[in-house]
Amino acid sequence: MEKQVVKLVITGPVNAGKTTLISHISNTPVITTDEVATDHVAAIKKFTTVAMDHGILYVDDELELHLFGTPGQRRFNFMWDVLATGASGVVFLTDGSQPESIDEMKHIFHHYKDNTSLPSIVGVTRQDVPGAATTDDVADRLDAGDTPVLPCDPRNKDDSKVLLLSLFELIMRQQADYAEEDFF
Amino acid sequence: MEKFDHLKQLRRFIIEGGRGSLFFQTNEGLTALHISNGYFLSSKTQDDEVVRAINMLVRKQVHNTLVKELQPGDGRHLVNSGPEALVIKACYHGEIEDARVLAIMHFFSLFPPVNIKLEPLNRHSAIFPDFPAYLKMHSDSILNGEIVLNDYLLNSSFPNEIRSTLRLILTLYLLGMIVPVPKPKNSIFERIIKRVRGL
Repeated sequence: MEKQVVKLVITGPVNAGKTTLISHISNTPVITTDEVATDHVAAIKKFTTVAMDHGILYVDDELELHLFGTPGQRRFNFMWDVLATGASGVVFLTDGSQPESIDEMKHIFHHYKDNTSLPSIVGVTRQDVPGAATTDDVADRLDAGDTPVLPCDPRNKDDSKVLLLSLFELIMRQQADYAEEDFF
Repeated sequence: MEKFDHLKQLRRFIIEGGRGSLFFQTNEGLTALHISNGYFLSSKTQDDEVVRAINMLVRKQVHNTLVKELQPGDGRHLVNSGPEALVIKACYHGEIEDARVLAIMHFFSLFPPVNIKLEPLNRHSAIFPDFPAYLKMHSDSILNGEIVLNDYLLNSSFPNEIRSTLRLILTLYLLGMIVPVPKPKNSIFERIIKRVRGL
């Protein structure tokens, strides 16, 4: 029997924690396309994703969840649309302690909102850094509308799980898998 | 046992975008709420009349509830704030008397396991102090597949903590964020959710 594949896109600016999140959820080693950073990114990290990260969670014998991490730099933005094709949802990650990360997130967020109708969720990382933007600040700056904005530390497995599970909850709600019953 | 039909009615009108007038009788007299498409109407556009009325329903015992069709006119206007802000303001205003605390606790203690829906309540952080507690309940719900409201009430050790938990649960209940656990259908996404929970 042919396997079913569900695809999610994990996107956001450089150094937001996308690869870490994918590695927590995948049960295969994450395939990365890292190259030595040469531009302003070199000040933040030595290697950066240039095409995509890819991880797979084997759900059961017939179903796989494929996680595609996009490059964070705008000059690789042609990959954003390529990776969104056939996806069921988008996870946005941004570094709450870096105003420029949130500005860049705004560009990516609206790129996806303007070009797709995919359910999405926003995770704000580095909430432990003094002075970091709160989820409320980020929601305002992104003009996030009804898109949920959650705090998330991708280094924490449960945080990564909550972000993904929340997105699947939204997807299911949009597909009317949730029916409210009369006992309430 | 008190059935809290007034809260159920109010919740339905809010989450189903209903239209009608709700009349509630308490020891302090008759209170009315008018709703059109899930939005509250009042004799003025400010929030205070509606907040006061919802607050009365939360804090006082309601003896009778009557639902009527909304009559047009009567100089009613849509109030400035949406239902989320009005319910939050009402639930977080004033003290709930001890007898009411026990009655409301009993009501929620009988609930079956529930899910907590995620909604962008952080938009109301200025008036909603319990957003982190809400996120915690949502995380527990989504990681475990369900939560039992009574566990949160029993885990509150101090009277103020119980009141705070009750305000949060009341707010989430009225806004339709406390929902039944969906019946399993073994859909693709349910299988993924089950798998991710088990990681």
